[in-house]
Amino acid sequence: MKKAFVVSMVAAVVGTSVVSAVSAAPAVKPAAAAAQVQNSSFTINGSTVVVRSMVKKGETLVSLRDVIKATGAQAEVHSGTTTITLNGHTVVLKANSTQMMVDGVKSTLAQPVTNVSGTSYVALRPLVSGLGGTIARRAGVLEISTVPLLEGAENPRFAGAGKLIVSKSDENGRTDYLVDTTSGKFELLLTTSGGSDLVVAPSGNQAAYTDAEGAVYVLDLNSKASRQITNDNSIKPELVWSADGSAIYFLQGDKGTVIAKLSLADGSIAKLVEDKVDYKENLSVSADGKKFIYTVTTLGTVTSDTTNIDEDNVSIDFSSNQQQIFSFNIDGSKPEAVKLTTTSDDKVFVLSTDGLKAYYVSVPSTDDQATLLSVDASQKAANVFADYDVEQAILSGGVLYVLAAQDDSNSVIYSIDTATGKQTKLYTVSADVSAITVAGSQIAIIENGRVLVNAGDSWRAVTK
Amino acid sequence: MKKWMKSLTAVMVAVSLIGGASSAVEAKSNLKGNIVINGSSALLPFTLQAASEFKKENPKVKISASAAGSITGPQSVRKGIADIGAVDWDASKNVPGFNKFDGLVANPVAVTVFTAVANPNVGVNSLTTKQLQDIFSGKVTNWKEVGGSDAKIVVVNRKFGSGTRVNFQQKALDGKEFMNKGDNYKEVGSSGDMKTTIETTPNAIGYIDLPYVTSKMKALSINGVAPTEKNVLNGSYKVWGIGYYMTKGQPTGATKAFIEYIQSSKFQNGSLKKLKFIPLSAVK
Repeated sequence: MKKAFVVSMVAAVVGTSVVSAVSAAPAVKPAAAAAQVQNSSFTINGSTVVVRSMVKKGETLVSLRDVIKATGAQAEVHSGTTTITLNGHTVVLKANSTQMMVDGVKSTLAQPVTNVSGTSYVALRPLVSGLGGTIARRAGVLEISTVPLLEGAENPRFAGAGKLIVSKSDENGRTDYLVDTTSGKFELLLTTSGGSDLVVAPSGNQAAYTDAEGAVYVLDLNSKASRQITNDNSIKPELVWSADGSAIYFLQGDKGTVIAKLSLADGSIAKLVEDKVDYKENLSVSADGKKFIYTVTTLGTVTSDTTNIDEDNVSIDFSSNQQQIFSFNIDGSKPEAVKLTTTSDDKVFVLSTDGLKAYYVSVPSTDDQATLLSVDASQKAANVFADYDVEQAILSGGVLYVLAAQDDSNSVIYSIDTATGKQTKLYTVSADVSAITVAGSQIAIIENGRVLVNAGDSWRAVTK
Repeated sequence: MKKWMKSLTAVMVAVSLIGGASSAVEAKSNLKGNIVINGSSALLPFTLQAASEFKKENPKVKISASAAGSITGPQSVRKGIADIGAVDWDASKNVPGFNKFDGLVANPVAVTVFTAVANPNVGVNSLTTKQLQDIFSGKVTNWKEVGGSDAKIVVVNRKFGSGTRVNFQQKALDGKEFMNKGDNYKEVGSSGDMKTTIETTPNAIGYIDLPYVTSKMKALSINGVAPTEKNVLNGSYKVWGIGYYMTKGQPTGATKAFIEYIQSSKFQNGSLKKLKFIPLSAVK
């Protein structure tokens, strides 16, 4: 459903590109065939490039030579036939002809290849498409990408301006890549087996991870060099950066029992919460590092008698099997866990800015829609977003971002300012969008397994 | 119409899961359901970790977990009070002490390494199979008889029905029987209780799965071979087993999707390994 939408959107953009392509300079040459050549600015693979272009019967034709040069394609010319190859694709064009061969398959152009003052001009859209590229538009400028995109990547996280970390897993482990959100170019970042996900620091310049043994490393995203911070081999199910990037807080033990702090300066570990309560998860840390929000899962209670196995004398009481949210202030006069919730709903995407108040998506056991709630020590949950069925909530810079199902065809993305409560509808997207990720003004979505980055009035695929 | 669309999407998700778990991981999910899991406490840490991750992709699936020893897993499934019975052996087959559970399907989920553990005050780091047999049968009662200090050995055993017990008896004791009473004999009901007892009882010896080993206890080598993943993979350490999720017939719906999530490369080589279990693919 969404796929068709994207394709038609691209078509529409190309169709109207003539009007809005930015004209960098007045016409350079008189028109040879009632068409006027002009210099237009395009973004090709992330760089601004001036391309000679002309409009013929409403279609934008571009200088073949300029596009070949900007994309790094190979071209051979033999008696009026030009063969262009790029990333395994081959496009064959004939001078003054509407015939085009793409990877051996014949197609017909609306406008013939046109020669103006010794330069061949060819329709932009079929050319880019034939070379395996994509076209989008941002702030009135056409963006052309012919970079082969990474396939099947998951878990996008922004890492500074214009960069996303994505991951691919196979039976050898996980490989992380750094993807340029403008060009789609990607580079290998890290290969690991049994390590934790990369957790990006607030600065966006570093990411932390544990190896399979539990040792903690910090990866410099510019130099790609990893530095071991500690070889402590305790299990660390969750890592959370401190607001100033000087420390990493983590849950410790196979049951996430302890909340500890690792100093990046000297690798020292301090245990901050040791209340012997198991199954802590979803840790959030306040900016001052003194207050924590987390969930605790209580297991069902089993009664069994194994005297005669065949009688199945076993029963499970799940009445206390719930996940509740707690806060813990280690700076308070009486440091202890404070229970914020008491309800039996499922609580997912538990978030906090200050370690005192928690936001969470409440999933009722009934068929009712999931809502975003807030709760504090008063234990009184308040609706934050209940307009549509909430599918995901994330927090970035004190702003909540919500992905919610509007109907069977569309989902909506809202921002909610945690300070003022102001809600803003940002985008309507396909119901196929399964997740969003945000960092400041950057936002990306996952749709049918592809990662798309918002580029003004369109979404640009950066993986396929 | 809306309902039809929803169910169609659900069917599509199900189809894509069959096609390959990796491609389905970030597909839009409309899965709904309630999954009840009971059984092995050894397998519990990764069950809960997987549940937490799975719920972020499938918020409408509720997962309730409990653990009271392996045998209660397949019992609960057979009785119809759980969808998944976590067990440290293949309960669809007969094993010493336990008959097979007819109609239950064994879905492999992880490799678990088991180790003999002792209180740190014990002056012994390695025991032979024969020494372990003699200690756990009550024939040897003082640490000095196996090269340690002059102190009575406290044997801590898991209760009958524990999968860790089944594996340890089969693979560390070569099937020899445990002692079952005496002043210096204790029985505990879960891996968590074993951990606490070994940590706090001087001269205690017991056994546990590797993720539960802490700095407050000593993991003993067997016949000079340390209980490490490396030694399991190179074939020198034998005390390990495959953990299973038992289901009544082939799993369906949310239960099937959850099991496939645990079996996916992403989980097996990520969180599962991080929690010190060994991926299934490593021992194939």
